[in-house]
Amino acid sequence: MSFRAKTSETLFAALESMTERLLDAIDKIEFQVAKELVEKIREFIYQNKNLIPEREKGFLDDLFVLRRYADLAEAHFKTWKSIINGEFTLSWISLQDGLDAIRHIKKFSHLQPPLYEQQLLGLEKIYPYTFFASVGLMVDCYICNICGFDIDSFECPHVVDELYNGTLAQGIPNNVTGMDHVSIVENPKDKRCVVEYEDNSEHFSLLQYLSNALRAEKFRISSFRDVEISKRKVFNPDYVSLGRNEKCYCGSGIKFKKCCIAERELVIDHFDLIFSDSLKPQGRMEELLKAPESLSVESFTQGSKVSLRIL
Amino acid sequence: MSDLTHTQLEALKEYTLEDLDCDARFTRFIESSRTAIAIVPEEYGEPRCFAHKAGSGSFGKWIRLHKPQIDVVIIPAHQQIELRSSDFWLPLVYLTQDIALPVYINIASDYIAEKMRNALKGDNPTIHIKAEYQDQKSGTIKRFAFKGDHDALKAVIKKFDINEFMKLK
Repeated sequence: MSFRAKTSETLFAALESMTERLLDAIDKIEFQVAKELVEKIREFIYQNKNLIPEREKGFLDDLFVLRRYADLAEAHFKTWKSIINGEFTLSWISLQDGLDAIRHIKKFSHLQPPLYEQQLLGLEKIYPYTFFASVGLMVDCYICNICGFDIDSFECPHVVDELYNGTLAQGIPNNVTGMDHVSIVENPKDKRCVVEYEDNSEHFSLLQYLSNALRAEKFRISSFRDVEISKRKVFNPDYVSLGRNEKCYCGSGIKFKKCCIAERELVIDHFDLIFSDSLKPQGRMEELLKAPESLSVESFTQGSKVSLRIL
Repeated sequence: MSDLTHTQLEALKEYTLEDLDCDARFTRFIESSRTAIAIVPEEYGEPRCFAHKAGSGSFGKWIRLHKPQIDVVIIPAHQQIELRSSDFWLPLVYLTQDIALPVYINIASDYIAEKMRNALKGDNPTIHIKAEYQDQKSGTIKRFAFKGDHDALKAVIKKFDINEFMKLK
């Protein structure tokens, strides 16, 4: 059982066929169709909320999960749509929306959305954001969105981030009195607060590569699985082998042995884009590799992987 | 200790247990209260004021809900600080003689485990725990502080079985 109420299982089964059509539309890069399908899914959930009596325990909580499933579907197609359009900053926001939806789905049901989770987490790795701004705010108290009492008092029976008849208990800040600090952190609560780069910045070169390949229909979105990042040593093309006591080639004016003698190899980031073989259209992967790239990216195949090196 | 792995032994470095010469707030609490766990505010901001970390109350309510046999109280504060971090910052707690430190650490671990039900693949948040208690024999006030991931916390729990804990005290 993925859900708390039996009715919800039936509902989800009906939704699954719509979700399949949605994924198909995303694969065909028909984002208007995808948008309409998400609206249909939302409408379907809304109608069932009114049609089905609430006598089944947990049904309203299940509806919350289904709504978050629709949010995930929407965030998923919006992420890819923004990537294809070269709107990488915007795509980051949609990606985070999708990951937030997955957290709720996993917490409040036994549904596992592995395709979405793996794919979105894989995509997350190729964004240039590693540090985030985190603000420490001083607040009088947090008011419960369900009962209106101070959510941190025993007067309020609700626990933050738990579901109560389909409503997520959350604290609404009451009177922000000041800012204690702003930190730069690696693991913020919300990853949307980033130092922004221009969409045409070289920081987005891998996303630009994906964007170009998708626009040229070189692979299907549903076949994209994950990204593995590793460090590789490569020959330094600028390296010049000299006698130890000769002046270094870099122009520093000091002896080679005290300067660039150890720079024969460079350590670079190596990205493996993992695709699903079963979903891969025949021959497309090879085409992807042959696609001319204006970016300084070197690519080559390894089975179902496309290996990339930023040069 | 012998059945701990090297990783677990490394993880044990992530906690500290120090003697406090004096903590007037704790002394007042221990003299006047029989509550097992008190969630207390800490000093923050400029000018300094006592504030709770956001979520402290939810932690207290969670204990009441899941461990109803344990008495818990939240010492009020006029301010709260919202840290906006994915780490788990559990509030400073005072423990009376009714509750042993290992029991409290277990409660904290259960709370974290439930909070991590929504974790995504690769999520490994840092957990911060602080607790003060009084050594029964010497009367010394001790402060336990932990900073590490959930696996490290579980390693600490494994070490703090009750016999080890009694030796520690």
